[in-house]
Amino acid sequence: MTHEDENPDRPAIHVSLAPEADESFYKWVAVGAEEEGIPCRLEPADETDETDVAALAHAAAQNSRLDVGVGIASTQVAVHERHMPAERPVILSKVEEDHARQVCRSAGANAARLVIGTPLRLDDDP
Amino acid sequence: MSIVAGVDIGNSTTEVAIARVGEGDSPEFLSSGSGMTTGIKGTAENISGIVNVLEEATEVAGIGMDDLDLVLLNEATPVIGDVAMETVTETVVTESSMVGHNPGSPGGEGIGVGQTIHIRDLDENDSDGALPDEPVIVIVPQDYDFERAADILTRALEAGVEIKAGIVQGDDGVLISNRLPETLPFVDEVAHVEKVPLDMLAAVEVAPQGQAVKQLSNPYGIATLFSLSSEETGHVIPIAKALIGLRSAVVIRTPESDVESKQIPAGSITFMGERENRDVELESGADEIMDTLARVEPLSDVQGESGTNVGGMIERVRQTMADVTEKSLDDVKIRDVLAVDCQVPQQVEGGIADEFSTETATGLAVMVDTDRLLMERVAESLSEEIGTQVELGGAEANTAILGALTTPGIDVPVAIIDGGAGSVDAALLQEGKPVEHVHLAGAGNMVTLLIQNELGLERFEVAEQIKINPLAKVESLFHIRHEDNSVQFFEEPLDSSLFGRVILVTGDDFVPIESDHTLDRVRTVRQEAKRRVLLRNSIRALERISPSGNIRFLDFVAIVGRFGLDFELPQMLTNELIGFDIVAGVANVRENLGPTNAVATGLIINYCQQQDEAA
Repeated sequence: MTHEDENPDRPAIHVSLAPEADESFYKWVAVGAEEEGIPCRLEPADETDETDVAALAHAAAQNSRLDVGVGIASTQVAVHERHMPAERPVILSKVEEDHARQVCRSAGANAARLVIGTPLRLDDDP
Repeated sequence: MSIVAGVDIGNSTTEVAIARVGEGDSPEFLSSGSGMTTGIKGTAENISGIVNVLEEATEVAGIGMDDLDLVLLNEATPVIGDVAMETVTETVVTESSMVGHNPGSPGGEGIGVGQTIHIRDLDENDSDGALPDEPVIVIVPQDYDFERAADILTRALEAGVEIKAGIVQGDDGVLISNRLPETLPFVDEVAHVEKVPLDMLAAVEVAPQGQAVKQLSNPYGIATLFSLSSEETGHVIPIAKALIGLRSAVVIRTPESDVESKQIPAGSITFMGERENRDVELESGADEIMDTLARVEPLSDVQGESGTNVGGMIERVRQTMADVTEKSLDDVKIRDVLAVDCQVPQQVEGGIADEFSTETATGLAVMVDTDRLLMERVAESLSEEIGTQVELGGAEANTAILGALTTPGIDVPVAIIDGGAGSVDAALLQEGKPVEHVHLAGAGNMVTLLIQNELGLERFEVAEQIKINPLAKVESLFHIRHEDNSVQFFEEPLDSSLFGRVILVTGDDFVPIESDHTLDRVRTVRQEAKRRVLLRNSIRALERISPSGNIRFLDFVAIVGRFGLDFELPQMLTNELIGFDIVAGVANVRENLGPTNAVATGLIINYCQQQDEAA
């Protein structure tokens, strides 16, 4: 993860992992954001044992200076924006074994597109 | 006392006015209505549309269909218009020799020149021989993911291979570029990467963010990179032209490489005037065509050169009109033509990344005369259908003026502009003189056609929507910026599929435009289309009806019909005519109907005046 941004004050998309989630998913989210040219950073989830992926993403977005967060759970990935109602993520996708990489990469790319202001690529989602 | 209905059948809308008419009194209007015209204007198919609108309007008036004593039909604007577009130039790449497109995110930046090579030939585990010792441009197909590709390229660079740039099939350009020890330009999302020939000299250019390629969009730039002779440089002009404005591009020099910009024989048009005939080539452009037309006017007919595009197009229109009017082909005469130049994006034949090149096209609107007979047939069928007396109630130009004169603040002499889908009509009423009128080819449908072609839209309906609705850009999930730069916020988040898109504001609804065009581009195309067709034809029409052809002699101009309902055209027209010292504005028929219903209202007023004269 050479392109991760470690400085906690730099604007970045915040990504939070649920305790049971596969850590490699983060890498693919990061790759998606990198191709669009927006930095992202792994942020530890709050101590509260948050299992709802939308709430996880919403909390990440609250702390992001770019107002965008991504939540990753074992079977779902959510992209959220700070001002959205917590229960309404901008994108909610299922993560399944065979196309986990594409789904996570697409979530990262779309999170970046939310920052840039270009249309989201929603048809990539299965 | 009797109850009379006026019915105006337009190319796309049928309008109705219902009034109680007594001797010596002005008519008492009871209701109005409008609906879609069914079928082509002037045919029996119109009946069902007329009946629908009449039923609605009688219901509003609180009467039944059988209370109608008389129905008056407009004596049809004797014109039917049609439009068509022919591309005059096209770009053909006979041997794949260029890639030019705008992927969302190309990698790195700069210019690289070298021999094209497949990435497997740089992989020591895979390649069968020595590494190349000359500068190379690496081709990366989709089955090499970015990590593997970056790994192979890094090792090749460390082994001393001069990699200058890359052409990538997937959306991985930035990812590969970021993982290399030096900054190199990568063009990505090249769909048909397998069509790129290997072992050929190629140049790749990626411009800095916010800029467009400079070297590869310049014929001398390409000549410099490939050491071309002056003759060869002449051949790369179409390539350079096709790459203008793109952020990334590839040009490949193949021995047989040959990109042609060729002229399609579009054919010539013969204008047959009452005094002389003149020919003009379609290629010579709209201005030349219109000048030639002006020289032969008044026009008695038009012929297209047979066996050419324009010949086919004019014959198609003639055939349609012959079918509708049941006249023989020889009797269908074309009475006006409007030519408009436009720039149309066309897919480059033989391109590698689905490139588009901007080509020149000419749009033509033509108009033919129909005759009174058509409307008489409609009147007969309608009479049979509803069991009421139906008559033709006066020429459309006269009745439209009578309707427009119910507008507050207007007076004779008055000119009207009545624009619809097929033609722009103008009429002038002066005290004690017969009404002057003119019908010109090219109106709303022509505007839609230009928008559709210039924006490269697949569907005519989408272009129609763009024509009649203002634009906005969705800037966040909670706000949009309208085309006048005002911002509108929303309590509830917008649909995420709208985010970042250019949308049409249709009442309370937002419809995204499925294209990559910016708001400014869509807006410019829309306004230019209206300017080149509607404004130009309005001025042309006013010139024809003005005494001595000078618009300055007019005092009042009222806009009636669908033109008056457009969200920007009336302002564009008023602005244009202010320069001629004319009071111009949208009519307000019967003080509350705006620009609509002028002819239907005028039919009833005309009927009353005739009754009075007879009495």
